[in-house]
Amino acid sequence: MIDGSTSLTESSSRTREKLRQQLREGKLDDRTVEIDVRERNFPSFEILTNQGAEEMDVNIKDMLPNIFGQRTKKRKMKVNEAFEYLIQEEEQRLIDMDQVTRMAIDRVENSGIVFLDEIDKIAGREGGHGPDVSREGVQRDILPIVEGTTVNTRYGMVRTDHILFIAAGAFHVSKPSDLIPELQGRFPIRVELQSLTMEDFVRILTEPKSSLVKQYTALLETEGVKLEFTPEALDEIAHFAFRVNESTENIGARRLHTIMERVLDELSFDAPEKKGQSVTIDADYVRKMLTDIVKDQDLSRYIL
Amino acid sequence: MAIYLPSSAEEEQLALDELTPREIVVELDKHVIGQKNAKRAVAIALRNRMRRQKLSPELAEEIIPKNIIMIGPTGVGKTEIARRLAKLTNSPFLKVEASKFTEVGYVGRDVESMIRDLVEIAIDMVREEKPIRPNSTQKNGCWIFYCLHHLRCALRPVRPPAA
Repeated sequence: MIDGSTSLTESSSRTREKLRQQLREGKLDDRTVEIDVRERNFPSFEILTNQGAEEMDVNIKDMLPNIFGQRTKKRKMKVNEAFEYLIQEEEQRLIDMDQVTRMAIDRVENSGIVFLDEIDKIAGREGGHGPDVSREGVQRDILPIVEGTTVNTRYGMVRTDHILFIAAGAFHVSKPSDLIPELQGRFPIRVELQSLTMEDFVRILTEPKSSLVKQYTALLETEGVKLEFTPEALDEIAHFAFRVNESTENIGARRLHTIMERVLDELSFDAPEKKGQSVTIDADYVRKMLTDIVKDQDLSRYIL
Repeated sequence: MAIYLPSSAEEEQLALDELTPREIVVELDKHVIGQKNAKRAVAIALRNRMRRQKLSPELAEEIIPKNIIMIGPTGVGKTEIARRLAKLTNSPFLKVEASKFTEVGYVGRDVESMIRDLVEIAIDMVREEKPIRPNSTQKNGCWIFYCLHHLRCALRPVRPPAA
């Protein structure tokens, strides 16, 4: 390749030109190269702290990789993969963290949503009995955040005035009116959600974009099994789910998961041997799989 | 120095800002069955905050969010509604169990950690969607030089020896 008359630099620049040409045309895509990959997962260790010190913990984590320097390791990959990797790497470096931080904080302040689940568990005014690490105290702590305060984070101060809080709870034992009045006032909208009916169950099985029926059908399709449910079977499943919910504990739509899993238990196990077949689940099949368990109350408490 | 490209994500965001409460409910209907009242409530709350952002700063400052309490037994879709809502609007979203917090001074999470976590989520979101991805012209321009520089060094050792 190198003829004697050309100088070394010229030849290398020619090689470079040639390589560039080939790279653009995608001819090198399958070649394997070795490149330095930055190692990201440095050994992490948690520092157990109480609150407040949490900040410090975070900062130390940030410092560590810098103390030890960026560690790199060699990794082999195809040229097109390497190309992707290098682009990503460069992107990371180009990201202006200041701007990202500013945008992120702005987004949190103006459109952040905090979903406070199990709010009923901290309701209940004066605990009175038992070593109850003051629920009311937690409510009082939450209050300023919901009311609007400034929280110090590692990215800077964040105002919580306009964050949307959605609280949720079953309120079986306590009532929303058991929350401290100031907190009640900060949640002006109350909505009650209805228990699901049997018709709801049928719809949940079929209608959502990634409904259970669609999920299982897709899963078994990977085994080459075509799964179908008759409408009666779906009614039956919903019916069973509803009954178990009534007789044991009401866990809502989650019950459908356990019932479905039970109904398809055998099929899921045998599927690889049934390649190419199509299976239709009808009401009788559902009944056959479930009757015994549903009849036995104690058993269904454990299995369904 | 950063290269900022006109991102399509921003335009998308604009479209999402225009979601009417009715459209939000329709979107939620695709994932959660029933619970019309709860869907309406969150849709209104969301729209209200969009409305707020269009007001003059002085007035916007005064308007407090319409926080919601959803009351209902487990498994009827409370969480799912909130989760879908956040996805729909591309908002930073955090779900926490209120019961996991303890009063300041006791061992456990303090309540401010939820805001810290939320910021963390937002940072990730912004970082993800701010693609400084080279567009096609750049890919053929300086990007290829940059990558070539790295690849050139890398390609050498494995080049087959010249015949």
